[in-house]
Amino acid sequence: MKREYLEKVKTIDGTIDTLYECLAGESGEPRNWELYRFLYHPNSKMIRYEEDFTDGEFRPQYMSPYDFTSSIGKYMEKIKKTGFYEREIHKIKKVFGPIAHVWSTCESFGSKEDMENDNPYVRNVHSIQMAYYQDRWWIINLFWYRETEEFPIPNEFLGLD
Amino acid sequence: MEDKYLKSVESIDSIIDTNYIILGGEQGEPRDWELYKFLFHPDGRLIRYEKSLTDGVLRPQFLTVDDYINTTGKWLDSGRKSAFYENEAHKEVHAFGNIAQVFSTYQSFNSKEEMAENKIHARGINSFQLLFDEDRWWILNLFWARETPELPIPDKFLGKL
Repeated sequence: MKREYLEKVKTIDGTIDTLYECLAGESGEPRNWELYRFLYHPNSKMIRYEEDFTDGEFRPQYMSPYDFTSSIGKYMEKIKKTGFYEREIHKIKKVFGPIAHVWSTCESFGSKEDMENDNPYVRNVHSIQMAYYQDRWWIINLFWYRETEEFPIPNEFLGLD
Repeated sequence: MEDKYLKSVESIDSIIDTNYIILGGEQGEPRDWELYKFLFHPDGRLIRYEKSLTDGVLRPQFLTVDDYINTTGKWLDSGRKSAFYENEAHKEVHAFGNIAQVFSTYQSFNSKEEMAENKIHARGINSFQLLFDEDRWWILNLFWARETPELPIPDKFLGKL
């Protein structure tokens, strides 16, 4: 099992593709959270800048990957009434030896059909810091922001420039 | 709150410039660690990808801002045998809505004169994740690696391409 996981984290692209693939599935379909958490460094954080679940205020919210898979992850898997699929639209990579950061734009869909018909319900930008260590890439931090009417994603981050 | 504090976090450029300026000083000159701490989100981290101070092994090391100030910071202040100044050779900024990531090439010098003559002591890359929240910018994560003979900084990150 580990060997097949290691194949996924040999490259930056492979790690990020796996990140999106792990989240995808139909309503009620179990995800591979073990693989999902394997992508992350043990000290890593996921940081969502969105409405807080408790009071609706916008603030940066820090989670461990385990916090994420046991809350949002469980919700996507068991409670959400639709499927969930995500696709990367564009990616900017900056790499210096064993450190990298990636600016990845992605779109989310409620079903496979919506994905085929290019009908996303939300788009996000992910800022991902990564380290190459012990012969593999690790996600060090994943920080994201959802597109809003106030802040549409600029063309350059959609690969249109 | 002091004006200079708020001024230092009013833009992406000002928060990064302030990060470099605060670290600079003569041998034995106290740095303004209170202002340094102010640049970071309370949950912010500094992640150094360098040889560990304990066992000499190269690996990503996660520090709180207090950890950093009490170790590297104290050493800059009082342990180091020369002055220390730092500036930025080049930066690449990606920003969307309230979030930004910056790939910033730093260079350090052993005196003000050497900085004026561009006689570099060390260089490296800082990857910043930044957030605009509560009317100011915050550093969420600062992740860096040093240049070494095996790992020279590519020209593109020195603004030469």
